[in-house]
Amino acid sequence: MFKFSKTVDYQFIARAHNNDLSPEEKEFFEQWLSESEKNRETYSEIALLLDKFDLSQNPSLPDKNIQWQNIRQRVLAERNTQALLNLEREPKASSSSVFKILHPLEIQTDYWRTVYTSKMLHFALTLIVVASVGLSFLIEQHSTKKNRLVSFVEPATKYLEVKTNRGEKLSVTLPDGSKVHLNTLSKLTYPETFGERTRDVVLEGEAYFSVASNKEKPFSVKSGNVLTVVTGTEFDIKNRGERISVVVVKGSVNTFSPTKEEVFKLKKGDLLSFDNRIRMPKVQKANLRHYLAWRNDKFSFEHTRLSDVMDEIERYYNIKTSFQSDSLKNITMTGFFGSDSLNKILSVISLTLDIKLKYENRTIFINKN
Amino acid sequence: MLERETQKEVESNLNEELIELYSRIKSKDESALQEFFFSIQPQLFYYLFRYTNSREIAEDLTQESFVKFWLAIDNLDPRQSFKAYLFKIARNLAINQVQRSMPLVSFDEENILLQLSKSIDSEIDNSFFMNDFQQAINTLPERCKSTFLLSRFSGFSYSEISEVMGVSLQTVKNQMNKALAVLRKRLIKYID
Repeated sequence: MFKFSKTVDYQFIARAHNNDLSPEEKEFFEQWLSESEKNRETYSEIALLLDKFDLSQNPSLPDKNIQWQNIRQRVLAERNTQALLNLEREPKASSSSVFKILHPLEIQTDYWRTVYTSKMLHFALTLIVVASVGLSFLIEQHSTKKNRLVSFVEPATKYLEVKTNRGEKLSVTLPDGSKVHLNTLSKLTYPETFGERTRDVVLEGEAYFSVASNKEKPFSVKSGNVLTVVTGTEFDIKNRGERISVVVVKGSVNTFSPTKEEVFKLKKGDLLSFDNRIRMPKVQKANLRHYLAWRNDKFSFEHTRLSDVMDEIERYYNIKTSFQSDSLKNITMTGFFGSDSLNKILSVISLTLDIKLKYENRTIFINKN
Repeated sequence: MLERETQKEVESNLNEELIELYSRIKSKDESALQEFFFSIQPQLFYYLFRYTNSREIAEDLTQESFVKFWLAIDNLDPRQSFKAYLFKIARNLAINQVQRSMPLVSFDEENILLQLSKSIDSEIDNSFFMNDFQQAINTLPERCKSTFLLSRFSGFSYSEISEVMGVSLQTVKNQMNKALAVLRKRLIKYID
């Protein structure tokens, strides 16, 4: 469509715009520019477009230190898992030393004692296979194993806390590889290393959990007086004010409410809600899109009271709201927003509810129309 | 005559400083790994952010890529570019992620909301542009998309891109050309 010579094409122009041409190329390019108005137009079009790309706001970078800590923990967890797997794979070759190291921690000691004899044959078979794989490999593994185990054996007592401020969201990778996405104004407490039998964390606020599967070691989240126990699944817990809700996205979870001493088995798509004032857990089908909107920087409201809507917006934008009258708080609304522009959200709310919203000094004043 | 591939550029991907850093990384020097991560995190994150169009997913994948990189160090050749290797991992993770995930909100819905609201014009203009820009990026064929993003948002040279993608310099140029042609066609209305 353009009378490009073989070498001046869009990518060539992009390089020219970046000042990334060799002297000969540069000379050629200048000549090409001077050839016609059309060439110059094409160049300025592409240049303007590239400027527009460059100016499109980049989001702020994630905290490097936090990310680095997450990475280290993941790598450590990964190595420990590998060390454990190696233990199971070649028990005979090193069982005595392994026993000594594991005993103080009581890792499956009973299991090892009772199963030991019945597994002898299996061990022998394993050994043959391992031996055929190569003795040198085995020796090497054995010599390095002690070092790798030391980090695993260190007792876990230190607790880590991750907190989000207003308007902030964070992803945390736990030592077992599970992921937790913290919504704004939330807090997660977890041990630096998980215990031998359980994976316990405590949540305040809201988070989405993607739990690494491990049937032997249940993962439990305590939030308010609701305890949620899983082995490997994805779910969202929201604990704001008096209300706690658990929504299951994948797999199944068990939820205990200590006050009622009841267990709720929740499956994919189930929502358990618990209100401290009513004290009656309720299980129903959830609108997943509604509960997970926050993960994609969206707000979703479903017959939500205006006061709760404004609570969400306050948390996200770090602002305050002021209602002219209490009756306004109880109007309910349904809607789905991207959370990028406060103005946009406010104008939609004011249009749909036919109320007046004024934004001044980081405060939203809500008045009747 | 101008197709002379700049051999000089290819060599400059690995300078002495980097070679030293790589050999420290290779010997599992944790401070070297940290140094490498800190220096490369912005490029990695911006590539993944534009690729997935989600801050959160990009954050996750930034970490995930580096974990995978770290665990693979034993198998790396210190003469090859670790940077390229890391971005190869990142690209694979991004491809998988995009194939798996379904956007929570469709474009039209967002559009209607935008039209409904009567806020500041320039803001709307800009969010329309961003929307269309992201849409346009997403319609690019994968190789084209990665090439474009690495070039514009991670500041990779064409020869670095050719290492990540495992293609020739000429292919990178072709892909870049194609990407710009598509983007120009789709976004020309924003240029006055």
